[in-house]
Amino acid sequence: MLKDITLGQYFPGSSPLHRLDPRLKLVLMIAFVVLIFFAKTLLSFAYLVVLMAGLTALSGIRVKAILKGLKPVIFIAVFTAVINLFWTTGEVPLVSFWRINIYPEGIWRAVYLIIRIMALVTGTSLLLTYTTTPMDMTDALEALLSPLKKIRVPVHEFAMMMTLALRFVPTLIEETEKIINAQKARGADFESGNLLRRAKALIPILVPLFVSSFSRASELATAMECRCYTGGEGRTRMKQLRLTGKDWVIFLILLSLFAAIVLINFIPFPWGTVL
Amino acid sequence: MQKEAIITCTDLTFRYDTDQPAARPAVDGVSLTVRRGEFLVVLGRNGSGKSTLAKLMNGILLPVEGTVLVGDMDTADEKYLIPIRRKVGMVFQNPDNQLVSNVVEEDVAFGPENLGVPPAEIRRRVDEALQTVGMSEYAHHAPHKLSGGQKQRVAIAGVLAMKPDCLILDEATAMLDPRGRQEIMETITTLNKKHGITVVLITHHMEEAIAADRVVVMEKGRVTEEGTPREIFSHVEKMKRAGLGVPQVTELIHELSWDGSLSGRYSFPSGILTEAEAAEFFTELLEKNHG
Repeated sequence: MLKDITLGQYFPGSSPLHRLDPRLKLVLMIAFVVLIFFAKTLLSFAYLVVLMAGLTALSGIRVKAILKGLKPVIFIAVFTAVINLFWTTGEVPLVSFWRINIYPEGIWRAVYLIIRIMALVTGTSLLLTYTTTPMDMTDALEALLSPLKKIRVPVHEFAMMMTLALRFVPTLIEETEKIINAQKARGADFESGNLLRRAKALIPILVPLFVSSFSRASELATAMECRCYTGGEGRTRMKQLRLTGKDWVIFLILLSLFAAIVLINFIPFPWGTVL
Repeated sequence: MQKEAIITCTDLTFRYDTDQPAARPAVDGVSLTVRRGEFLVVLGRNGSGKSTLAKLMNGILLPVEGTVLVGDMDTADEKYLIPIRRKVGMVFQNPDNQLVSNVVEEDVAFGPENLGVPPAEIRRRVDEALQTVGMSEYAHHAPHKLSGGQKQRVAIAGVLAMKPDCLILDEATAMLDPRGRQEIMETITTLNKKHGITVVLITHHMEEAIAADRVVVMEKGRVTEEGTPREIFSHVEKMKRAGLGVPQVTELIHELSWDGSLSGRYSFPSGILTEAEAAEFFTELLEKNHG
């Protein structure tokens, strides 16, 4: 169950997306997140879906793995979609019973929201976490934020913390599963009862997980010290980041493909527009 | 002539709780010298202070009394901390808690990167270290998909990439299955014999002490025995009292020698350590007595 979480995980590979400079990937990701919110018409949302399929193909990562990564957000997506379905008002209700009116606008909005959330997760994962090693990500983040060092923001430390957090996602998932099994073996019941009861059943999982995370953190800190880690100063990198012409070409192509979302909004289309 | 000392501990005392001077210290007046190129095993049961001793050897912990010298650098002197840790690498018990990256080769590169080694040189060292521990083909893998023994070999490679003189393994085999343990023992034996790296292995597994040049037994923070594996394991009763025991074969021969009906007729040597030695002894015995 928990093993399915692929969020924040890296898939080794050598696709164009894998090889693209992580700094450009980071910029692309930010641009992508912003541009997603410009999609307004049915056409532009359809384009968004095509874009996701294209990115997936480009990354060479199995579709199954990407769908797995979407699992954890399905609940949030469906929940917000349902809320929007009932709360959006339009002119002519499509269905109307008791006090509830469902308007076509509501349906569109719900569908768009699902696409938007899915695209947000898929896009950011494909552009960044799935195709970039945590170390590369750290480098990129550090490089892009390095101007902040002048005003004494501990940029390297933040970047390092992020790397380590990502490194420990699979380890902690494994551990959670072990604890759940151990509790189940002693008769703990996580599946029945009301919401409150089930939430309470999680406490015996969270407490040991919390405690062990702390001891892991302390051991990791010792191990890092043993390997002469003293912070960002004087550190070199095995893989130097170097921007090549090829990087820029891929960057510009992807950026224009993303920017096309805005342009597609201007193509008139008879239905499906939500303001 | 004795080889030069790499680590010299003199009258070492350490306690975790400095507020209670009455409590028994975790390490209590230990003097110990680790010499270049040797394979030293520190044996002790849980709470004997053996892990604490290991952490004192590269300045993770600082002695309350006494001194630790690495070469001629005092671990208490802060300016030597980095050179000391570069010289004396450490591998810990839980492989999951000492790997910092999601990619094997990037993890191995972590140490030399911290030392400010030029990129091309790091690349070379990483490839070499992974080759030495036999993990080259996993260079681009994610550590959490490897077996325990493989993870631990990656951790060893991470230390090797810093080009240390001495490798301390703090119960590095304790969480592994027999196969993983075997992998690690083979790896460190190669490192010691072929690459001349000094190895200090902290363990409570008797079998791992057999291959050592020298064994030190710790009990309640003190060094109680010191000698070659053969010398140490010939004192079967003493080892048992220390809560440690001896390798199974050694114990078997010992039990036989205490059996009155047998010991009257045959003489059993003490300090047999491996199955091969025992087999040889029995063959000889049989040939002598039954033609």
